[in-house]
Parts: sequence; structure tokens; C-alpha cells
Amino acid sequence: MRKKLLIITLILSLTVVFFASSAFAEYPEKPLNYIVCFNPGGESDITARTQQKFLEEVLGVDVVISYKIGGGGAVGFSELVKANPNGYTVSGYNLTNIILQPLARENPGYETKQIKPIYTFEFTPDILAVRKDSDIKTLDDFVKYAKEHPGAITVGGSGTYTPNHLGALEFDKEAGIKTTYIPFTGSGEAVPSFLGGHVTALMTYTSMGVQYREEMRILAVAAEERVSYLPNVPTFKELGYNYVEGQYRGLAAPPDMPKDKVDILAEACREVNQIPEFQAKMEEMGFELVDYGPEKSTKLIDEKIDFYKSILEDLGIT
Amino acid sequence: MLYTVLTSFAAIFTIKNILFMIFGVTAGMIAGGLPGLTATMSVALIVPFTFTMDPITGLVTIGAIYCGAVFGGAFSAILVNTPGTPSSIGTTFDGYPMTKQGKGQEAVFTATFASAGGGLIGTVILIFLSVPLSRVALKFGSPEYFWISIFGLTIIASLASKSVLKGFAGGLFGLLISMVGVAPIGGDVRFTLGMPSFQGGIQLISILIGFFCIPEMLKMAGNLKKHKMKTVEMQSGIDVFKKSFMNVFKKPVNFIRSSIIGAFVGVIPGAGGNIANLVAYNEAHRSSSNPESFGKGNPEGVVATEAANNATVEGSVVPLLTLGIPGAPPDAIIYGALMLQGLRPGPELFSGPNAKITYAFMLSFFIANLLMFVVGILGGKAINKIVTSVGHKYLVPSIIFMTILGSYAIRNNIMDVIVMLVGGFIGYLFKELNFHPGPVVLGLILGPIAEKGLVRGYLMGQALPVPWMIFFTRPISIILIVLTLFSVIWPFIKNKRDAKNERGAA
Amino acid sequence: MKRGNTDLIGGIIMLFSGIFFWLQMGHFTKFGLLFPRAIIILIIISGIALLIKSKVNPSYGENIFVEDDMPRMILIAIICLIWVLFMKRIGFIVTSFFALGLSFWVLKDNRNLKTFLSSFILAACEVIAFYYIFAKLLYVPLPEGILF
Repeated sequence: MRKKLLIITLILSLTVVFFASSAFAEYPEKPLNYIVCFNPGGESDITARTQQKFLEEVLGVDVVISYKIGGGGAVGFSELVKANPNGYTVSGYNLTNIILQPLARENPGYETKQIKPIYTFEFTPDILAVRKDSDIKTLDDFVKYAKEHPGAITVGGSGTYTPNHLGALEFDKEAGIKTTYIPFTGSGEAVPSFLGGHVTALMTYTSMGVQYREEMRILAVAAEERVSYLPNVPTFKELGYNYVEGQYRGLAAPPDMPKDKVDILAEACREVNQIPEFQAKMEEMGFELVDYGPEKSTKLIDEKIDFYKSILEDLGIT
Repeated sequence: MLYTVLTSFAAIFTIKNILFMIFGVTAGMIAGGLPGLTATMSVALIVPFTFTMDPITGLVTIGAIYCGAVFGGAFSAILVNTPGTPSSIGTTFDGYPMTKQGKGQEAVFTATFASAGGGLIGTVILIFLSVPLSRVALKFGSPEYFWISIFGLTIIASLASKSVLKGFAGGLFGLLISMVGVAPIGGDVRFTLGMPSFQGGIQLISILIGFFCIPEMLKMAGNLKKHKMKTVEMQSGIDVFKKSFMNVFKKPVNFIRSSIIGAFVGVIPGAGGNIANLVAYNEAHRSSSNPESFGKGNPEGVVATEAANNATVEGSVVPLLTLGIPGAPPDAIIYGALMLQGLRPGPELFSGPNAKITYAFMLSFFIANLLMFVVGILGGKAINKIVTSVGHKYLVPSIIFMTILGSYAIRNNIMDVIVMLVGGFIGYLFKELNFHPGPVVLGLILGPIAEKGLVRGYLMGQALPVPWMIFFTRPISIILIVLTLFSVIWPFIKNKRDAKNERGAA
Repeated sequence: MKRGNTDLIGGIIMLFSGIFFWLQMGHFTKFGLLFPRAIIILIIISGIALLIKSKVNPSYGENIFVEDDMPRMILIAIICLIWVLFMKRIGFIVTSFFALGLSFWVLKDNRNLKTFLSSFILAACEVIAFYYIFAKLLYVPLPEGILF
């Protein structure tokens, strides 16, 4: 009798251990599917690909990048919220886009709250630039010219309802001027128009500023403090304009992804952000690293929702 | 500089690089030949693998795949009337009729000669004219892009073959469906029937397959018995080879002109191979001594389109390397690869420590095109044999299967496949009503370019008293307007002149 | 039909397309409206022009929508339609297997048990081959429905 009991206990405990270990089997064990919602060669693609290599090292599995492009990211985001929450499908997300699209469009296919941020790892501030041969030498020149010729200055930027677009609107409001914003499909379309003299100024990202610093005169950067990779560029705040804007980029998950898996990925991102090689690479390209875990990202998003809502109301859109 | 050129050339010739280039060219050709996989996708697929290679090897592999893919599109265009990539749309116009006449082998070989040759001319232009060309490319602003698309649409007149009115209507239909999605300016979500997947618009590949391939497949399915007669290959191997060579080089004007058109159109960012092949075709048609033969199996048409589209490959690299601006979608991906390797496009790429890599990349296109030629001849014979001998009853479902896979692979969205099939049914309808698919697809391609040019140009004109004047007061715009008008009026002048000659002769 | 007035049918299609899009124009912004309005107006005009031409100088197509074997063609079309509509729900491999096998069988000269089997064996080979190439080699995530 005792022997039987012993055997049964042994079998039961082995079973428990077996199930327990498979439940706690190391996540992730399969390749991770990383969706990029924007065109290849763009900022979101480059930051994702730079991160990919290091994520693979930290997580120990392949990270496979796939594209779901369209609608300013909306196609990808709407697929993300319907994706399998088993932890093997994540997507890059752009903070401004995921907030503004549901506000400004009738049916983008998702709600802002459905997108669960895992980690927000980088921030690219806006910059305002003119060509090196332009008559406009400083931000004050710009504002002065704009006041004298309302609507005459054309400012190119990437997209509609993006940090470039809203940045142009926010700055117009701050400075009390009126410029004409011209949306392009991606920075890659905006820059040639700028270089060729077809638009007067560019409200673009620091990454473009770093790449084209020979051809651009950057009037100001829309960050809280000066950025290390553009040390000679004053901030808008320094020059008296309370204008801070840029794109936050991070990793996001489908709405029902389990918290423990989210935390594992968040920790991986945090580790990647500490790797000196990654830091150097991102800074070299003009991307600033930030660290917002899942809870802090959600808080950031909520703050920005209120902020953007008020701007849209000012403009009469909603 | 000469020293750099020589050392770069030497750097390419390692066993490893040559092997990778052969692999690249072959893989590219296969990918390009499969309807649904485009050059952009092929490049996107290979780029991650190149991160672990050293820069020169990585870049020459990418270049080889790019060349191969653009060339590979010709195979499916010629053999099953499906442009394997959008740059081979024009190749179907004369390539497929040639296949139906039993001259598929000749068409494929002609395409091989033309592609390799066009690529070589393109490489020469890339190496020697990069900097001046890129400066000219920058001068193209939104109003110019608008006029380019209008010019492109007037080409419809030659593609519509029988009815100009139907051609324009088809083009307008293409423009209509190009508007589905998010408005480039304004951000409105338009014509999506409430479905989020349509925010990305109607995919070009879906419509390409739908309008070119599916109708043919359906017709094949409905005419199985009739087909049994025409599988005989009419010419022997060496003769075909020689004839194809003659097709390209005996009329050098067509070949050289098409290559130059291809390279130059490639330099203009955003224009790309999709349009270049049609512009070259149009020019070949216009300058030909017997234009009526175009569209019925005239090899000149194949030469024009294939030379142009391969020259575009090198042309589109020009703005990429000089300015960091992609000339065509695959270049956007190469841009990402360059950035990740730490190679920043711009003047420093040509003179700094990375100059060797840059020149190696450019020079590698010579080798890639030659390798492509060899693989093309060897493979072309085999592929042609396979496709023409496999009975339609096996071909049709298999090809439809591949197109389903291909349309799904665009962006992993089942809607693209559904659109492809529904587009196919509409394409069948159009075909029976004698609406040529070319204008429809052209409208779809040019729609966004035209709209962006129009609206942005209008916005740019805000500084002027009458904003619309901006479209008529810029030098390049004026040149384009003149070209467009010429293109529209030319058929009438030609008719009058021909009639006059006939009267004079009689 | 034996002899169809292609201009007439074409004109109706163009007109219909233009009106269909017109009805879907919601609240567009000033800039989002510019281009669509122009194109829709132009296509309606071209539709009307085709209709006028269909009366004044019609082009006729001989034997349009008539193929040797209409039932077979329509059957293939229907199989393909069901194929794409159910692919996501049921899963790539299963749906393609059935649709491909069925298509092969429909196109055979003789339809009996032997050709039925050979069709489905060929279909199985193709589906497996392409599945491996696309899903495993190229990392394209093919639809997985309730089956696979």
C-alpha cells in the first residue's frame, strides 16, 4: 500500500514538474515577428533594423522583420490589434500617429488604447531648416519674413497628422505666423523637393538634419535641450518659443498579450538601449535614445492624447 | 580617382564576390519571373542577409539581385502575359504575341540581350554622369512631376492600339482606383468602403496580375482543345540566338535610345522602371517604320522595354548614392542597407575612405549584367521549353496558385489576393470589350504621382498671385508641356504626312 | 454574345464606375477633394463620350464573352473565388490543396477516379513545395485558419 502511494506521488510530482517547466519554458523560444508599418528606408525601418540585431542577441531568437505598409501606418496598426497575442507578434509604433489617426479619421481600424506599448526606446525631435544658400539666416529672420508674407513660406514635412505636420502647426501658433505646410510621403520625398528649391523650409527630423548637414542650415531643434549630435543648433525654447515636438518610436503589442511576456520584451529593449554599440549607431544617425517602459509609455500616451486633442480642437478638426 | 577605380575593380574580382553575384542574378531572375514577387521585394528579402557580409560583397549581391529581378520580369511577361515586375509591363505587348506565334525562345533571348545591353549602357551613365544628372534630377519639383504624369498618360494613345477613347477611359479608370486609400495631402481616408485594409490603397501588383494574367488564364481554361495546335517551336537553337542578337544590335538606335531613356527616367526619384519601359516603348513605336506591327509581336518592342527597364536600375542608383534619395522603391531599401553599414550617401561616399566601396558597387553592375546575360541565355532556353511544353491544364491552376501566393506576399494581406482575383474578373471584362490593360495599369501607377504633383504644386504656388500659374512658369515644366503636346499632336501630323506622300507617289 | 457593341457596354461601365465613386465622396478636405472630383468628372465624360460613339460610330466585338468551353472556365473562376475567400478562414494549406486539386481535375480531358487521384497528388506536391519556399525560406507568414 505504501509503495503504491509512493509511486503515485512520484508520478504526480513528475507530471507537475513537467507541466510547470513547460509553462515556464523560456519565452521567447520561436522567432519573433516584428512588424514595421512604414516604408523601407524610412526612419521607422532604419531604427527597427538597427535594433533588430541587438534584440536577437539579447533575446536569443531570430527577429524577423515584415512590412505592413499603408495609410500612414494605419494598415499595420489595425493588423496588430487583431494579431495573435501569444507574444510572437509585435510591431513598431509611432506615438503621434497612433494617437492622431483615431482622432482625425473615422475608421482607421483600431483605437489608440488597443495598442499596448512595450517599450518606447527612441525620440527624434523636429528641426526647422532652410538651405545653406537661403537669405534666412536665423529663426528670427524666418519669423520676420513669415509675418511680412503670410502663407508665402512653404514648409515641407513628412506626412499628415505626424510630428512634422503638427510641429509646423504648433510653431505657427507659437510664433503667430502663417506658413504653408506641404505634406510629403516620407522624409525621402520631402528632402529632394527641399534641396531642389521647390519648398523654402523643411520641418523634418534630426535624423535628416544629421544626414544633410552640409546642405541644410538648421534654424532650431524642437527638443527640451540641445542635442549632442547637432551641438550648434539652438532649441526653440532657448530662442523664446515654447515648441517641443518629435516622434517617439517604440515596440507595441496586441491588446491581450500577457503581462509577463510584455515585461520580458521590455527588459530586452532596456538592455539593448544600454549596449554602447547600439547607442553609438543611433546617435550617429541622429536618433535619441529614451527609456519608457510599459507603464511609463502608457502614461506618456495618455498625456499626449490630451495635448493633441486640444490642438485639434484649436484647428477645428475632430 | 583612376587609382580608386582600378583598385575597386580589382576588389570585385574575388571568388566570393563573383559567386554571390551569380547567386544574386539567378535568385533575382527567379524572383522577378514569379508574378507577385517584385524587384523591391527581392531586394528587401536579401538585405538582412547582407548585414553580416563585408560591405563590398553585400552591396554587389544586392546590385546583382536588383538587376536580375528587373530582367526576370521579362520571362513571365513573354511566356504567360504577366509582367513579373511592373517594369516589364511593356514587354507583354509584343513578347506574349511572339510566344503565341511560336517565337517564345526568340523573344526571351532578345529580352536577354536587350536587358544586359541596357544595363551596361546604364552602368556607363551611372559611372560618368552621376553628379550632373543628380543635379538635374533635383530640379524636378511637384509641378514637373505633375506634367511627367500627364506626359505618361498621353502615351496611352499609342498603347490603346485601336481606340484612343477607350485608352483614355481605361487610363481614367486606373486613375480612379488609384485614389482609394489615404489622400497624400489632407490625410482623408477615401473610397475605402469602410475597410481598414484599403487605407493602403489598391496594390499595383494585384491589378497587374489581375488585368494581365488572370484573363489569359481564364481564356486558356476555356479553350483547352484549341491550344493543342500551337506548341511547336519554329526555330533551332543557334539560329534563334543569332536572330535575337540581330534584333537588338541591327537597329542600334532603338536599343541605345531606349537605354538612355531608361537611365534618365530612373534618375528622377519616384519615376522608376515602371514608367521607363512604357516611355521607351512609345518612342520606339513612334519612330518605327511600321508602327502597326507593334503589339502583334514585333521584337523591337521587346528590345525597347527590356533595355529601358534594366538601364533604370543603374539610373535609379544615381540619386541614391549622390544624394541619399532613392530613384526607385528598391533603392529605398538599399538606402537602409547603406545606412546600417555606416555608408552615408553624399559626396563623401565618392571621395572619402568609403570611395572604394562606392566605386566597387557601381562597377559591379558591369559584371552583374554580363553574368545575367549568361544565366539568362542558359536559363531562358530551359524555362521557355518548360512553360511551352507543360500543358495548359497544368499551367493554369499552377500559375493561378503562384499569383495567389505572390499577391499575398506583398504585405501579408488577404485583401490583396481578393482584389487580384476580382481585378482579374474585371480584367477579363475589359479584355473582351477591347480595353487594353496597359492604360489602366498606367493610370494606377501615375495616379498618386499626378495627384501629389497637382496638389503640392498648388500649395507651392501660394506665394504667387495666382497659384495655378506655377504650373506654367517653370522651365522644366514648359519643356514637359511641349513634349506632351507634341506627343498628342504627332499622330495627326504623321497621318497627314503619310497621306500626302501617298498622294505624291500616286 | 455573338456581336456586342463594345462602346456601349464600355461606356456604361465607365459611367457606373464614376457614379459609384461619386456616391462615396464623404467629407473630404479641400485638398483631398481636388483630384477625385476632377477624375470622376472626366471619367463620367468619357463614359458619355463612349455612349455617344456607340450610337454614332460603334465598334463591335465578335464573339465576346464566348469561349469554347464556358462552363469549364466559369467553374475555374468560381473555384478560385472560393479559394481566396476561404483561404484566411480555413488556412492556406488545406484550402489550396482542395482548390488546386479540384482545378486540375476540372481541366482534365477525362474525369474519372484515376485522374481525380493524380490531380490531388500533384496538388499536394505543389502546395507542400511552395509552402516550404514561401513560409520557411522567405519567411512569408501564410494564413493559418482553423485548420492549417
